[in-house]
Amino acid sequence: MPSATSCSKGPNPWWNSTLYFKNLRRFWPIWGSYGVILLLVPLTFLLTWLDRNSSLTADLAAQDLLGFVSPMGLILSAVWSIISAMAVFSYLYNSRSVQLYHALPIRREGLYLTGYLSGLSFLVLPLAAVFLFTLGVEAVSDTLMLWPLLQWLIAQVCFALFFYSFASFCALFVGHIAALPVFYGILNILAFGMYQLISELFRQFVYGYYSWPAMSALAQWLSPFIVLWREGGVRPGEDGGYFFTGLAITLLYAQAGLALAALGLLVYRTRPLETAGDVVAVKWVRPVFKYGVAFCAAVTLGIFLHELFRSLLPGGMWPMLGLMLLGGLIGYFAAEMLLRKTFRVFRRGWKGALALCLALTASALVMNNDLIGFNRAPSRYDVVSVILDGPYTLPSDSASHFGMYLTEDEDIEAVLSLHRAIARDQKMLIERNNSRPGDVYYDVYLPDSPGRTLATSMTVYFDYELADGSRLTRAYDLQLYTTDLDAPDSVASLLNSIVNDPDRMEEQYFYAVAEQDAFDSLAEASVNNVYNPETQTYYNVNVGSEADRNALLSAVRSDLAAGRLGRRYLFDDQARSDTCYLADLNLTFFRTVTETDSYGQAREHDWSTTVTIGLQSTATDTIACLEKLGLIDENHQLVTHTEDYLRSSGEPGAADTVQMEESSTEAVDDGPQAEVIPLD
Amino acid sequence: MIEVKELVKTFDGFRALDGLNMTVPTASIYGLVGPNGAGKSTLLRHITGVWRQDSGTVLADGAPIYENPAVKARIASIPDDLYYFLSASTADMAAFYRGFYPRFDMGRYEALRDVFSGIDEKRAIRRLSKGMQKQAAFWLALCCRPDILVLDEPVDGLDPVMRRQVWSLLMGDVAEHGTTVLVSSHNLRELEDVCDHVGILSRGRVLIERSLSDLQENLVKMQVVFQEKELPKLPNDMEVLHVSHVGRIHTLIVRGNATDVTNRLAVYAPILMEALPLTLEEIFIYELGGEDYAVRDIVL
Repeated sequence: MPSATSCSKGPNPWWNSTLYFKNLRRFWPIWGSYGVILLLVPLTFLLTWLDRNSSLTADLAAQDLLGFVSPMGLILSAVWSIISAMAVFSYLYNSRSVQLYHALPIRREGLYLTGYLSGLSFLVLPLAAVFLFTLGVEAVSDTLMLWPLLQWLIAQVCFALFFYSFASFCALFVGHIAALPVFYGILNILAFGMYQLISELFRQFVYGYYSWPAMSALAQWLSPFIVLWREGGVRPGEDGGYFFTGLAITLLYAQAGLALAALGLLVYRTRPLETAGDVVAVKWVRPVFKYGVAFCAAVTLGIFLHELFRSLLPGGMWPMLGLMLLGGLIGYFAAEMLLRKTFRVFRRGWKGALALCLALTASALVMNNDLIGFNRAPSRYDVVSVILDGPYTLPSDSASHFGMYLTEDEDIEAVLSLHRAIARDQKMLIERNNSRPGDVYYDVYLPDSPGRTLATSMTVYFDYELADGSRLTRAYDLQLYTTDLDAPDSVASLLNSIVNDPDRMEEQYFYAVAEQDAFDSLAEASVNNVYNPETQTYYNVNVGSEADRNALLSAVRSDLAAGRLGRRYLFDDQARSDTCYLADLNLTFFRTVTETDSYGQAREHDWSTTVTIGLQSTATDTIACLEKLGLIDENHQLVTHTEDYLRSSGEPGAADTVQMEESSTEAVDDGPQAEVIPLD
Repeated sequence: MIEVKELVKTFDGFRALDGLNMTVPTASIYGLVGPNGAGKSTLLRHITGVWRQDSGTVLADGAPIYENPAVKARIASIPDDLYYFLSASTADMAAFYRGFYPRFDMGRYEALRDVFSGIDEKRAIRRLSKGMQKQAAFWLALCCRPDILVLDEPVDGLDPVMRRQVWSLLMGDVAEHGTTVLVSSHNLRELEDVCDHVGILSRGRVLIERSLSDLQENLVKMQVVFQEKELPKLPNDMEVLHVSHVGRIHTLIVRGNATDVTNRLAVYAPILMEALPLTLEEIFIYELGGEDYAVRDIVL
């Protein structure tokens, strides 16, 4: 019988076209479905063009195409990438198929390259076909803008290159097909998730931890799906046309994809094939997986259980640590069960579990006792600027939430002094946070209960810009007592002096107005909580004319500059109650501004802001102006918190005996010039 | 020739292959036998280049097999657990193998269609019966025109006629083309008919490796009736692997050739003495008896 060999050449060890086309034929539903979904966009264009009632323009088509790239194109690419990788590398997860493939006369590099390229083709070939179809539709409908269409193709191909390479990379680490999408999904956002978990862990144990800016940025870059989602958008060009905003970053990730593909090959070359069916196929990844799962479980379960039982647990580190250890052990043994494929892991795994517990406990002790000097204030020479944010001060008005960007030497030094004082007193401050002593009161000053130690709680944020370009952030929960103010170098005293710097008073109130240069745009002015002793009710009064409003604004700015108005109080104490009126002055600024929108077109829109200033008895110019304008007189009085308390608590004639200052009595003219609105 | 030298393979600390040495002569049919878990399939996966050894070498005609496509193109294998693509027919798989094996012989494929006439070559292989799937595997493997054919439990599931047919084809290839066949099986009676070399594996090592005739000459079964009812004390240097008796007839399995053992027992002036050849199954059982793998009399 005659016989003939089909080919006399030796096998190509690096590539096999039979396998490539076999993959294309076997898995046609994958690239077919991807192509059909992508085709919907140009089909919509076609139908719009054919519809007599609709009009398809080149601008609209370009915007729709680029708008499709993110997030829809991004999501499709991420999903079909993992499906493609699961298909072409599925043979690795079954010992029978492993035998078939790896007994073939081709090197592992050849199998990988052929599989990788065939999977990539599942994504790129439909993109190329849809590109050509769209090109045709746009050309026929006379709406062709080639550059947006090319950007669509480039971005989509780059997405495919990155996500498919990443999926292939993941495919080589797992031994079970069900584990692949799980790993892929988790790894896509792992860095971001880990950063959140570590931050949460630090918040639990490290006093003062707020964020880790450098790590946060790195975590975002290592979470490609999140970065690409955020960066993707459509921007009109200055000379016309449209641009996909995330194109540069997409190209960068495409290169990262190629690097991952190369790394994948290295992993494949050493992958033990007998691990088909295991959750993790590569030996050195197993402990990483096990302790990674244990750590994530420790933090998430620990925090969850701590929140659940918070009311039953004492403060401090130990309850939290105990719950974290419980969570960590659950995660550790769960990971062991997955790796060993048995529930009998307790006897073999106890050593690792013990090591985990010791590591968690040691970490918690180091963090909780600040053994690494976490709370040390940075050196003055390292600080370029600082944002101090968070202290809540009284009266409750537009300057209550203190937030300042400070660059002057003197200001930075003041903030550093505060930071050093917090670091110095941190044990005492932590103790105060964990247990509230019975002899301090978190309520307001009561004139009939003098001498009580009042307390206030607040969070103070430090955000330093350092000379090396990095940032350092801290956040401290503070429980401050009125008695702290007795010591000039206490945290409360230093904070008090920072928030009461008269040079910054106007800025605190009028930051938004100054930014818009809108001091000449005062549209409304009113005073609320003006007391009428006859009716014993509170009224709002409005300032009628523009000249009166501007006169009032000048008086306010004069008082702020002189430090007679805007005094900030950390505590609701006697000084605050005696000085601050119930009345607030509301100044509303309004103007029409012109801005360029995201499509490069100038648009007008209304801008307004209202500044609320708690009036104080020391604000002589402002009070004089109010009297002059007839807004306050004998029948329209400003009442301090102390006076209000005494009146409402039944002290005879307390509020009625309020003495108007000399100047105000004189300033009242024929009658109120302002509109008076009774309060309900 | 296949040469395996000091082959070691460990799974999670368990040494499945423990410094294994083996030589399969060219153009021979080599039977690989051993108890369950001895490492037969593990060894075959190294010889087909699927698994990478921890240490040691696996060579075909002096060249390493692992990651060597030129050598693997000359090796075809039929594993005990067959795998084909989900909806692939025999014809599809032939086309697939044709793309990998340069010597894939379509002429032979056509010729063997008559031998495997029961197979619908357009039908998905997974829809065929187990025996038919095995036939398809032989059909495809033989068309690769391999120099080395590695078979793991190859005729399991085949009917007697097809077994004979398949062995006939294999022996034809050995005779005509010098094909080397390495076959692992528990069917010792069948191996005895076809193998010219046998290796016995136990605990990851090759215990004995000889030609079948050498193996049979090295062990002898003696049936002896002595003048006394009891078995006399035999010389210490006579290696008796097993003793049993029915009435006065003693059956001894003794290491050595039949003539020597007969002469040595003759000094006891037995009433009756006969030397019988051992089957491969008996050799397997009694050799492994020394490895603590004897058939145990268990009363339930």
